[in-house]
Amino acid sequence: MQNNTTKVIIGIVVVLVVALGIWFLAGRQPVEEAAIQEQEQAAAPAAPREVTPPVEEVDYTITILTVSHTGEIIAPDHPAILQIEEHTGYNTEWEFVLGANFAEQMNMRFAAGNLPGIVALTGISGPIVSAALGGAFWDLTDHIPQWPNLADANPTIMNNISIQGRSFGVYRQRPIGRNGIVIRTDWLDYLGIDKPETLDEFYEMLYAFTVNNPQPNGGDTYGMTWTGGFMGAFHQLAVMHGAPNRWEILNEKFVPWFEHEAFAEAMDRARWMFDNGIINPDFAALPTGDLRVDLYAGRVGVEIGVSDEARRTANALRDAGFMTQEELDAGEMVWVMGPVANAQGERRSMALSGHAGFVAISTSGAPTEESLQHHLNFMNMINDPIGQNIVSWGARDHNWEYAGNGTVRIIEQPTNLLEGLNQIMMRQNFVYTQADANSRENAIIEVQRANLDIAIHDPSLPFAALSDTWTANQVSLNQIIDDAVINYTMGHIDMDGFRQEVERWYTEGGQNAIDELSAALAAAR
Amino acid sequence: MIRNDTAASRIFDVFNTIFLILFAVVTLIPFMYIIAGSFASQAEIIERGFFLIPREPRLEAYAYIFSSRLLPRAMLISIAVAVVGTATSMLITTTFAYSLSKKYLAGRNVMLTMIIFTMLFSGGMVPTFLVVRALGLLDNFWAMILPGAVSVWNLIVLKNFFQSIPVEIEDSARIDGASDWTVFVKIVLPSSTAAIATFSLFYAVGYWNQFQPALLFIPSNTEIWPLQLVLRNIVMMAAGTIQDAVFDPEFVQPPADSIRNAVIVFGTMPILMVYPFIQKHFTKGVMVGAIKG
Amino acid sequence: METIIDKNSCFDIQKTPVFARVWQQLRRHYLLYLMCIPGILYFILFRYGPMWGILFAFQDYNIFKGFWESEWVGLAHFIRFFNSPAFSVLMVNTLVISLLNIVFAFPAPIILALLLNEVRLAWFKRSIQTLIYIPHFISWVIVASMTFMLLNGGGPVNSLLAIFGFDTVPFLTSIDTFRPMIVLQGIWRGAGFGTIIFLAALAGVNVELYEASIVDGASRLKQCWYITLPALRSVIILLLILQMGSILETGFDQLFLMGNAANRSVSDVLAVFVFREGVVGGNFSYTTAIGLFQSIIGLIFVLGADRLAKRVGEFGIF
Repeated sequence: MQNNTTKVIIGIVVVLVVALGIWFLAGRQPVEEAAIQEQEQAAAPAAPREVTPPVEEVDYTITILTVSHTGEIIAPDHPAILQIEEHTGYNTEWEFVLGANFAEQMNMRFAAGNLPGIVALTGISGPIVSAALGGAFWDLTDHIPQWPNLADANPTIMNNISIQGRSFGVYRQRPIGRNGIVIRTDWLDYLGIDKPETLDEFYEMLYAFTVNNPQPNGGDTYGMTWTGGFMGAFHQLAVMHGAPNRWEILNEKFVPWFEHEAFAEAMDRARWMFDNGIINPDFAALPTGDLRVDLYAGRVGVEIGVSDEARRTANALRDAGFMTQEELDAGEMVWVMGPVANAQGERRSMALSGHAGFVAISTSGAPTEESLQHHLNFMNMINDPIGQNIVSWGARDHNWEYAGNGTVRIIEQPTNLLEGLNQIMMRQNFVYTQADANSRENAIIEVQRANLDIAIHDPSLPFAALSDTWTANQVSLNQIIDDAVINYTMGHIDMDGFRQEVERWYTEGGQNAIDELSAALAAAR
Repeated sequence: MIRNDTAASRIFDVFNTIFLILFAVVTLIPFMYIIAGSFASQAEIIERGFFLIPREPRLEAYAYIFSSRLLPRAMLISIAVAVVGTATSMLITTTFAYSLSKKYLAGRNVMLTMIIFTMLFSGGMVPTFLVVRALGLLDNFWAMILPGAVSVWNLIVLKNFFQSIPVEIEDSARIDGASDWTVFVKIVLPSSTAAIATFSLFYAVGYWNQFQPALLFIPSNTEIWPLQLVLRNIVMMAAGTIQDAVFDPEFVQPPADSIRNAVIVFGTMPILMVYPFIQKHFTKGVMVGAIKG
Repeated sequence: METIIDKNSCFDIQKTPVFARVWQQLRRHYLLYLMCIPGILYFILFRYGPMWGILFAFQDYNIFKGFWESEWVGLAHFIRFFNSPAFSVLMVNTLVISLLNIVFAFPAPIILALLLNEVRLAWFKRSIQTLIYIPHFISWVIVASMTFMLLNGGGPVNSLLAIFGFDTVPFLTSIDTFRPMIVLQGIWRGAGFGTIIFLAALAGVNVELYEASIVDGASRLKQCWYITLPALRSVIILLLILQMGSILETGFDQLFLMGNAANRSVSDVLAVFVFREGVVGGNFSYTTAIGLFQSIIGLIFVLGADRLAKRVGEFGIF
């Protein structure tokens, strides 16, 4: 038996050799997915300013906290950052929080009271609300009107991020009309079915996808994948059937959506789909992250989700070998559409909140009035088309070039190098779209645009932070209903059982939430 | 070792061997699946579902790992934390455990009570964070080691191990004039190699697997983010369990399964390789008599 | 007041005053006390330093306002918790899983260690040891995903059952299978790693004892019963006592990931509740209060178990 030292040395040598071997054998870098940017065309994009008026340099450093989801971080001397500094005249320092750590990290930062000046927040959860009310962020309600690029923000979305009626920052915009139905058009073609226009046609199509072998080379298929951990697909269906988006206001009172008859209609349909194998029988237990496994493996025909999922699905099908790059570029096989019409002939799209949190100015990072003004100045200057496109696409003429008509052409794949930078994108309507979009891309854009006209909003959003019960308990309360829907779908309970769960919802805080929200509504009127 | 060789004994051996092999297989197969998945192309993973040997091995996933600065650096940090942390922890734990194993130590019971109290009661994340900050350890390498340097569980069990070493061994040394420290280093430690190896392994595994200290105490020094922190981020992203990012997949492309598998293998292999090295300490020791009850 | 008896001392205990004895103690064994210092320093700084955080349970703690500015609410959180409709369900679920783990998952590594101990081929023993502790390092997210692949309606286990003519068993959504599944998952993941401590204990058993027993004609079973097990007795009891402290803890990740709408009535445990209320809902003080409650119960159990152990003649944790 060799002695200890020799063993250790041998072990180290082996590891090094293996590592070097992999390094050499791996060859070139793998093709990385482009950081695919979102597009929203609520307003026609403003013409880009070809000549930037000279901005005076200020000897002040703006510190910024933003989120990185992959852990890669943009280098501090990246051309994009330099362009931002040029455009605003300030020096910038950037800090990053890993996406998975955001909640805990924020708690620590609040406790320590040492946040940077500009902070990107990913939502309006309980801790953030209480921190804002506790004084962690500046109340900007009176300041915003004084800055042109902040004052022209979309008032509905600003309302949605308000906390107790006050504004603490500018929203991180996401498309309101983002939801859509992704469909395998090659299956439609193979079966000779038209794209569905009504709910009935939609369900017939799903049935056909399940039983009629829509694939030329056979293989098991079914209609849709659901997961018990996230019931977004059902929620959208309920709205399509005619239910409100979580809440509706009747007689000055908030009424939850499950009281609407269309909700029960959607539940019955869900049970029908489950019984006919249209949705996966194990959906209740399917881990949330595995939701799209079958979709990307070509076994599923439809996903009710976000419209840009069409792009990801197409990419995945290409990676899996079902589609060639040419077919992908030509926009084949995967397509997206807006909601189908319900029995009354209405098309209803479940609107999203329009934001993924907001960008705030912390009192610890900008302690004085003067520093607040600097930060507001920075926010103002970055909230124009130039600034927003730099943070979203990268450095102009380095990562992208302007291709006319509100579109850009990518020169160098920004990919993960832009991590974190694009998380402070606020005004998505200023961001250009990608040039040379194929028919699928155009479909995505079109769906999102059309959805705005038929968007059904959640009326509770502006008042949510005013109801302590709702802020604290909405997750548990929502889970009670989702659980009941799942159990009903699977046949574990019937309508009476569902009503019992609804009663539980009321007694475990639902009634309190209704009272508080309604009171807030009355106060606002 | 001599054993008697009856028929029953041999039959038992056969069944025992089969059972252990089965158990090892059951515990190993899932990991082999992950390893196989790390060497496969995304297409194959999707197509085949479950497999143990990839038809077309690819090194893309590992190339991705080594192409970024982030992961290899995080691995080195984790190794450093594990090595330095284990040394620090063992230093404090063994000395403390040995002293506490002496029943005649003044204040022993008081100290033990207070120690066990901390096993169950803790101030929580925020106050610990404030203490770490007050000590100036934020964004510091030692913030991943010091706050959790001593595990009460390890301390108590090790203390009991020391307590069960027969007094006679120590006494004979003391009679020869050895001091407490000499007894500790020259007699007790060498007699406890199995225990020392075990708790070193426990600490090393603990340090290797941990991500909470880095999550809480290393907010901006990205240079010293350990591997598990980054790995957790990748796995959670892929699993859709990040509350906010789940349905903000806009700017986030979850990593391909092959990459996720490769990162898991990358994050697990080093610590797995430690155990074989210390196993030789688990052979029969030189102690006289069995561990006393 | 504890008695300080130094076995090596020739002093007449009854005649010497307490203080003098202590002082003499300190001088004789000053090195031992010095050796305590790093440990004591650690506990004071990093364990007792933050201990005031327990008081959050009695406040309406606002994380930004901090300790001094947050208002006090006394026992309000505890009362709210005890009165909440979820309370009894959570307690039952948590306790049942904990007890099942003690009865089934706790002995598993012991049995494995005993079996491994009987293996004669050194290389075989080492290989098995190295392989079975691998699952400990696989995160629960992966384990949950794999469990789903294995146990879902169309998965390998159900296919196997179908071959033998059995109906499909909905392992993942059935209330009856949930608890056994959790325990088995825990055993799969932790038993291998758990054997290490017992193997370390067995390493200290004197070989001569076995040899002497063979001469006396003992079978392997008898050897195991009369030599091996007693050697492990101390460690087993000690670990059992320490386990009692976690009686109201169950892992969060495992229960969170394996819980779903269909098994919610048995899968909701305190840890999951705390996550939902605290991390997501932001009820920081509320969850601190629940944590305090868990700790107090754990303390009672630990002290109780320790007292029991003393009765049986063991060291216990003291």
